[in-house]
Amino acid sequence: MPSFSTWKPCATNGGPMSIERVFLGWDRPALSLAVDYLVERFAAGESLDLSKVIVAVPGGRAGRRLLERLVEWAETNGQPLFPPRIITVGRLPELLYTAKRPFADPLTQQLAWVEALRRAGSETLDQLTAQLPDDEDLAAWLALGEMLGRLHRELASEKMNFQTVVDCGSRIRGFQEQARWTALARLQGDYLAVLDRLGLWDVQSARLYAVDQGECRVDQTIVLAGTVDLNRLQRMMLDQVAEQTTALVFAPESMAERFDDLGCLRPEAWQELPSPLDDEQIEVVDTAAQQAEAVLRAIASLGGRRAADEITVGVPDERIVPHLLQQFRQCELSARHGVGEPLSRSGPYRLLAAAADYLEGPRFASLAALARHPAVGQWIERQGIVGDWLTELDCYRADHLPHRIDGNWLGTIDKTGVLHTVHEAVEQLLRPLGGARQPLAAWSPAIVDLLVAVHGGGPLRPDDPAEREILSACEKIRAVLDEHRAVDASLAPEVNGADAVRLVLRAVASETIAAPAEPGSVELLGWLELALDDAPVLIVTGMNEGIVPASLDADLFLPNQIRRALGIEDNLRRCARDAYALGLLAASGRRLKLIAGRRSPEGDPLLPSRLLLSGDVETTARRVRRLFDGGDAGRVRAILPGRLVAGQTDSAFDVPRPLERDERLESMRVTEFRDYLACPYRYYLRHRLRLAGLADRAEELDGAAFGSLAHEVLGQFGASAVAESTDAAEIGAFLDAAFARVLGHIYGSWPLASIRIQAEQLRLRLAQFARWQADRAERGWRIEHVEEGPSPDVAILDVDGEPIGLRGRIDRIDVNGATGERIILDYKTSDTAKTPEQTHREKRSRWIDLQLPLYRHLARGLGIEGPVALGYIALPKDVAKVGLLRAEWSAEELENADETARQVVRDIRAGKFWPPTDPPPPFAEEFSAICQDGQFGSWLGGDDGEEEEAP
Amino acid sequence: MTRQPHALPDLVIRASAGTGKTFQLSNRFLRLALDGAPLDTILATTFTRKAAGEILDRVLFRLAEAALEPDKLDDLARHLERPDVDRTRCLAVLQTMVRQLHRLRVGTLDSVFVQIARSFSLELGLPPGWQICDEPTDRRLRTEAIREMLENESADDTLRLMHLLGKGEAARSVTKQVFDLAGDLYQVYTESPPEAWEALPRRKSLAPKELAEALGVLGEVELPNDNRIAKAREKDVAHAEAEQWETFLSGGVPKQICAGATTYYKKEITAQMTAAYEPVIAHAKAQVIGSIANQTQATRDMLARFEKAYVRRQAMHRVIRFDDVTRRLGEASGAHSIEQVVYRLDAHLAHLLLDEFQDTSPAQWRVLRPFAERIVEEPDNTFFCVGDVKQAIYGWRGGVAEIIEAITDQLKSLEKAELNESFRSSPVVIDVVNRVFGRLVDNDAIGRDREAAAAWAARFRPHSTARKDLSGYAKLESAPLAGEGEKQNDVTLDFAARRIAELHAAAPGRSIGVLVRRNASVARLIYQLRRQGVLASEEGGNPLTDSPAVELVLSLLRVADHPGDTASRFHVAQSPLAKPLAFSRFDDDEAARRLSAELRRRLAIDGYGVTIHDWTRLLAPHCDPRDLSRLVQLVEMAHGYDPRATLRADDFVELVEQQRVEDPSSAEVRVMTIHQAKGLQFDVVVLPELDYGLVGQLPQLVVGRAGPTEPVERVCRYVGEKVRPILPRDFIAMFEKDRRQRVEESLCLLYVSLTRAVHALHLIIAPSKSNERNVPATPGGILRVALAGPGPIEPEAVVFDEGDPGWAGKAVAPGATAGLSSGASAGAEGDSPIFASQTLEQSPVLAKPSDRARRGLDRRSPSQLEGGPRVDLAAKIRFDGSDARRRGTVLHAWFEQIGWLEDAPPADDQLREIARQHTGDAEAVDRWMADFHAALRRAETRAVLSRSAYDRSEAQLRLWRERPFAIRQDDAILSGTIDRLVVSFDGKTPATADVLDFKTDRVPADDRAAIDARVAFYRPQMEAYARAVATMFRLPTERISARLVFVEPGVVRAV
Ligand code: SF4
Repeated sequence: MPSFSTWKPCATNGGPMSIERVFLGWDRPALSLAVDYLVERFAAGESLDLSKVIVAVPGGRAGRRLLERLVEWAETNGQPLFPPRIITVGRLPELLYTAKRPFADPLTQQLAWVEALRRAGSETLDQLTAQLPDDEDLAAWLALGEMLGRLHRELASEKMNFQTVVDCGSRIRGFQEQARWTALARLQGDYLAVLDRLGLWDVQSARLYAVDQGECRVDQTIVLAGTVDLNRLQRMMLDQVAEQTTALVFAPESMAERFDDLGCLRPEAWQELPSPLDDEQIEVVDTAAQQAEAVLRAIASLGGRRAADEITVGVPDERIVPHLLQQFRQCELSARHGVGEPLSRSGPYRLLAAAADYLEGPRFASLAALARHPAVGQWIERQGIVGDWLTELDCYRADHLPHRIDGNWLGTIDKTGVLHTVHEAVEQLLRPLGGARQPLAAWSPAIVDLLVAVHGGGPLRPDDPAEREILSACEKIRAVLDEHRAVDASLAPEVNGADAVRLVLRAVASETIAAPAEPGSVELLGWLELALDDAPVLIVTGMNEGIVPASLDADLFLPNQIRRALGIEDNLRRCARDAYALGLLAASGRRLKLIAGRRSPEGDPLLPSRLLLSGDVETTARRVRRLFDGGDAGRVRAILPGRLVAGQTDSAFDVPRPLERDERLESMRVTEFRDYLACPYRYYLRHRLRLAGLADRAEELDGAAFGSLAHEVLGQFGASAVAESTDAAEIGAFLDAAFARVLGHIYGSWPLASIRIQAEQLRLRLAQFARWQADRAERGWRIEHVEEGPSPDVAILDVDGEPIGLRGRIDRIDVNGATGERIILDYKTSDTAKTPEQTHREKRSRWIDLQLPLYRHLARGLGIEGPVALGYIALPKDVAKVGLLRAEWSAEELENADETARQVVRDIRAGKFWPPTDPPPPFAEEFSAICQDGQFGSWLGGDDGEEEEAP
Repeated sequence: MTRQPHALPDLVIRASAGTGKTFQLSNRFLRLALDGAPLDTILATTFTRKAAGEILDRVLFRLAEAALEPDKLDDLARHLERPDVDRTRCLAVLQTMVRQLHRLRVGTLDSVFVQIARSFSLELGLPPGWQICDEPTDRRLRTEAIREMLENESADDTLRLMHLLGKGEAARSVTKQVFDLAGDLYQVYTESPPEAWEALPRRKSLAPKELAEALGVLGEVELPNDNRIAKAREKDVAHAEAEQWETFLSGGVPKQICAGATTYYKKEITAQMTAAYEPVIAHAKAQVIGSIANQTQATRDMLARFEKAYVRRQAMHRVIRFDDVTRRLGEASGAHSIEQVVYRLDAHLAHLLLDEFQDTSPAQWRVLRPFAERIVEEPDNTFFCVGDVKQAIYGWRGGVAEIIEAITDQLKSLEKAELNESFRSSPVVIDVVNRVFGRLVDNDAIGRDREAAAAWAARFRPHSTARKDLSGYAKLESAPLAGEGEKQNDVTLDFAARRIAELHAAAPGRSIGVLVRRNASVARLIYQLRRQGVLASEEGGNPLTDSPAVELVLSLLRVADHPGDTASRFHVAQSPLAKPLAFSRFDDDEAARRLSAELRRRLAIDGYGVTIHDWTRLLAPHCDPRDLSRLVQLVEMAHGYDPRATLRADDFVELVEQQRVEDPSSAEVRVMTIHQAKGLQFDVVVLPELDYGLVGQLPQLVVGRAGPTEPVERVCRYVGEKVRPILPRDFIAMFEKDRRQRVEESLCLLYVSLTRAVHALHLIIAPSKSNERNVPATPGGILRVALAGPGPIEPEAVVFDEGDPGWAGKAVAPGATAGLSSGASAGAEGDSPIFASQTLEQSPVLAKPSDRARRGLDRRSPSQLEGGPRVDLAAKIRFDGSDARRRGTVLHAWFEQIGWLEDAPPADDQLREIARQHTGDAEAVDRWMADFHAALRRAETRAVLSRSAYDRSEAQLRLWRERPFAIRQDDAILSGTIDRLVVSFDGKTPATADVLDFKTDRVPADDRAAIDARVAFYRPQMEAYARAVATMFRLPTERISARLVFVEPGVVRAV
């Protein structure tokens, strides 16, 4: 097993042979200088043969750009190029030794930590955490493993282990964490032992071993280009190959003192910029969006003299990227963020996420989401399922408010047939991922099969961006599955299908899918890649403290103080790196603009980077005065629309006028009148065009459904033999039974939980109704008609000689056996009991509803002549108020109601549907977008807008 | 020059509204810095992120200014009471400050707590990588938790609970009720230990038999000769039999006996009667108290179940709320030494500066207290806090204003100071404030809450103003009387809307703040104002749905989610989008289905931001500038949403409907709740909703603690005043205290509202009702009495006015107010409406790209070209059941070791060593080794590896293995490595080249078709190699051969 050095205060390297440093200056872009150097040193005769050279660069993009520059050189000079091996410095070590064992992949490492944790005794764990994750929560365990792994990697790369921190900490005043780190050291030992048992190494162990054994060697020449910050292990390895190594330093020779033997920065020497920036290079704005605007303004100021590939935009703070991309889009320019989109936005990721949700419990909502995945939709169609099953699904949801789905669809087969088919198909698709727990790797084929089934319907074309994305996402997922399969059986957890999928998602969540090259685009680069970029114009955003330079003070394991003591990366080093990088950009004679914001996208206050304030005391003071003169900050400003131009001075979005339609009005529901009286336009939308909103978000029964439920039960009651009963208990029992039946019939076994509770609420109201009804029957009232409505050609209202049919069903008509008195009754289940007067007339004069008065005509259609009273049977939430509410209108008033109805009919016949009523009536929410209700704020006049449907 | 910072006292400042809290805090900070306190030992906290940003800005700016301008230096010296401070010192301190920007600790209390919690994640039991939960996510988690709770609950249990809380009513809607419950009461739940919920002592009740006997006795007991008393007894017995115990106790004889009265209907209550009643009364009390206790506990049970579900979800999503962070820190405080905290935070805190202290909650103070205590003890450390109990309006959120009073006891040696001079308001405004609060106790409208008023008034000192120059006006007037069927509050608001429109017209460019009590009133006022042509917006903005263009986009999104939504279909089909989307017939179901599927596809592939941007481009020609600006804001929001976009467009629609986005073009009149107005100021303040009860809303639960910073000892569900007398004395006191606090908070709200005004105050109240007997106990009532006397108020009457109604015309130009009030907390400081320029001054254009791209070339590797331009996903990612990949890698690595077969072949040991890097599976290596040797025995394979196969001398041949190459091809760089490359030379000139690529596919040697298929598959790759070699060696392609070596069957095929 490799050894860790015991702690020494700031070890400096001083091997026998030191590395050659070459100072190339910095008055031109670093890459140009590097290319010149390589050409000068290696070009021989007819070719540029770099095949024996390894060039190590700080970042991947610098490497790619270097290769471009070399190819370009070869083309321009007509010489064949044998490219060097260009790698990022992080990968250099593995070229210097041969590992004696295979490497454990990340998942195996995490599981090894988990194993160590699970085996640890309480004396260890108590030092570490107050609460271990649930046994079941594998993701949480892995996250813990990942956290410790990260700590291990960082320290190991500095040739330290957890014990080192114990030793070093003892020299820090107030350090109280010996016990904790001792416990961590025990865990670390156990972790390494687990890997050892499996015959594996993590990379750090392999490197340590190679260094310890002095095994590093290389037969190529190593050129380090701009690698100004190396960790201890890297340095020790390079020391062993010092003879073959050259470090290119992008700085003038005169600054040699500021660099160490390997061409790395001496942190103390780089706490400020070597020379201050000019005022006009700096711009401070408020929000992220405004930073994006500032970039576009900077581009505008170039006056069209620069092409896209001559400009680089730096984005140290990735959160600004979407704002930038959007601002470019608005200006009809193209920008490219090479890092690309997060994989979590790709189709395959979303497919797996939706599948995992579904697998966790067959909930209706999961099916509804899964079915909306575009590729799943196409897959369903490929199964030969036709029709608008999405709408069917929505309607089913609206009718039955299901929570779980179990394959028993409520309602008739002709209505739900397609849902059966879709559900069965989805079940089959996901069945291989269901079932009992299995070792993690056993799920991999099923996961791949799911991806192939849904996304592999036909061949994919990598040159289509969307299909390319699917392909890369699937490949990355596949790579994770390879890891799952590589995990040694002794570590592999047993999980169910949903968990296996979730573990895959967890592993790929932070991955991105690189954006394809777009030559005409302005490149957006992260801070780390910026230093070696060579565009003539650089516009850098996010120049804020905490971002450039990043700093870390508080930390769970390694606060700055202990970092400094250990001599590992600390704030000093971070600042040095960034000061150097910024110095490099500023010195290279290019156009440089630096933009800082005052608020993060989340709204946290930001300060401009201290590097922007560098300079002598006077300069600093003046700059602070300029940048902190808070005048503008916090103002809300419009986002610039770029090239988007508003075409109108006044909004051209009008509420659509009623369409000309010739449709003869033959009949109307008695309940329709109310809607017309409330708003002719919305009446038109609802009843003439038959428009309706459709959604699947209801959490419970709305007023209408609640009312229908009551009506259904009460209707059954009225038609039953018990209707005549004077025994409250008997009526109650009947209602209870009927209610249970109706409920089961409409809502099945697994409706939303709230419905069960609502049902109980309704049951209470019905129970009180039973008492009331018994009493009423006792007093001689008999139910004569129930839920009856004559055909519209019988129930008519004459309007100017042209009769109109009236439709509707009367809840019940009671007749008093003793007095012969008759009354038309309507059940009302709204929470508060309102009298017919309250619901039908405004200020005792204007009719706003005509339902009860018009029932008179329906009654006549049923053959009932003579005087009939009108009323409600209210079943409100205050059950004490269950009972009769009579309407007390005079004949004259009722005639007036009829006249109002006639006027409504006339208006409808005349096509009077304009304008919409303002403020909008309470029932109109589904039309609020059409009617632009939101324009005046979201206030809806009137009360709770509770509405129930009269059957 | 450096003074010891401990020369500064530990100080509590009570700073009245507008007296410059932030200014005081920045003074303190500067003073410490100039005295040489290490900057990272100073921790300054406040409540909003905006304020935190401002404090630091002020500190740096004032220091820089002082360093550069002599008179600013004088100002600074004066304010800091450091006459000796000089320019050099300022410069030096500024320089240090700038170098240590990252060490400055000025932030919100929440952010500081989060930082501590991050450093102790594991110890606090927080999951690795936890985040603060954003609002929409939290709402979702709560909904899900509630659903789960309901799911697991038997309907009966939930129902019982709902009845307990819903006063026995059978309301239809349940989710909202439960949701409110979980929302409002969860905070109480987390703060109160389980014992507190059981604090109400139960009493013994009678057994059924005993009760029956007692009732028997009661029924027989001899009564005074009065029919009414006999009737009363009958009723009492009936109530008892029906177990209506509350009713039993709150009327008739029992009420009298309980109240200690000795007569009923003027007849004596005999001892006999008392004796008969007493056991039943005791039983009734036991029953009622029992049910209160049950309800309280049932509430806790439900909250506990909610918590379980909720916390599990939080853990699953690795999120937590600020409140939870605070609570966990509070629970853990003491478990870790301050040294440990200091070590992990890397901060030796020596100076604590706390802003807005009245809003500190007990939970927060619990975390802060150990630090404060230590600081007060250390002579070199300093403590400073500033706050105003009169502005404590967050009682409902756990802010306990009295802390600021309590800490003076807890922390020894605190000095106290008071600031009562306003730097904000005009003399007229200040005069109103003094009139109202100066004689609060005598105010008739206070009614029975004199005690609360007295407590409040004790904290009030007459205010003065430094802004004597400010003109101003104050008016109290009444609205019309509501007609039949109208609600007075609505009438008052509508009247106010007309007034505001007038004010706005008379004082253009002045900021007008309209402050109301309820959210619903905000919406109503905005509605009314907009109808009158006044662009009013809610503080924090309105939802984007206030633009019809945005509404249209939302309709389109609804169609994406619900092809059957005909209302949205109609909206789209009648809009400018109909044509470009080819959807003009709303009743065409099939077209709708297609459109919906296509929209979902686009949203999934391009994301919401890009898609909605494209729609915005289509809509721009139909937009006015405001619509366009709202659409652009929608696009921004969509980009923000994209990373967490779901498969449901509804989710985004919901977000848009809920989220407020400030509309930069409508900042003139701002309507808000008083809570939202905190920290802001306006030229004109209008208060149109003053007729709410001083006692405020009745709480569902009442809590009691021994002191403001002590833990909760008692929790009880709200008990009405009628029943309350039967509770134990400490519970009665708790209810009284609760009422007092609510009244005090109402007074704070009134104080905050009045003090937001710079120039003018417009107070609008309801007129007296015709039957008014007493002045109503409302803020409006208080104002009436204070400003106009106790008499009734006619409708539409001006009952008080003072100052110059035409002030706006004469006062300094708008905008000037902002600069003058640097001492006050900033806000919408009389800014004129802000219109940003709507276009870029110069539109950004780029030069035409050169014909050949110079940068950002595509990168291609030959292996990507395998299989041609169409890829079969199954072939790419399906597992083939073997270890093919690793085998391939190892075999390749081995072949790479072979130079010319004629020379010494690599030793097996060496090969095994190579294999070890890739696998620990020795058995597999053995197998592959056998394969490898077998391959080397095959004639065709041997041939390609032998020098002799080439018709050249050793000197003319060069062999490369794993040869890297890079060439330019169109707009791409083609790069990769060639397995084996043999080039023959004529002298120095390359003559021919042979490209060899090893393939480990397992194909039978005799299956020609299979081999042909593989060859076709690899052809594009081989052609790319050949091209690369042609470019590198400048060879014509016909001189290059490219061959595939299938090592398993031992077949070599030229391509
Ligand atoms: S405005 Fe007043 S408080 Fe502010 S610096 Fe000037 S004199 Fe001092």
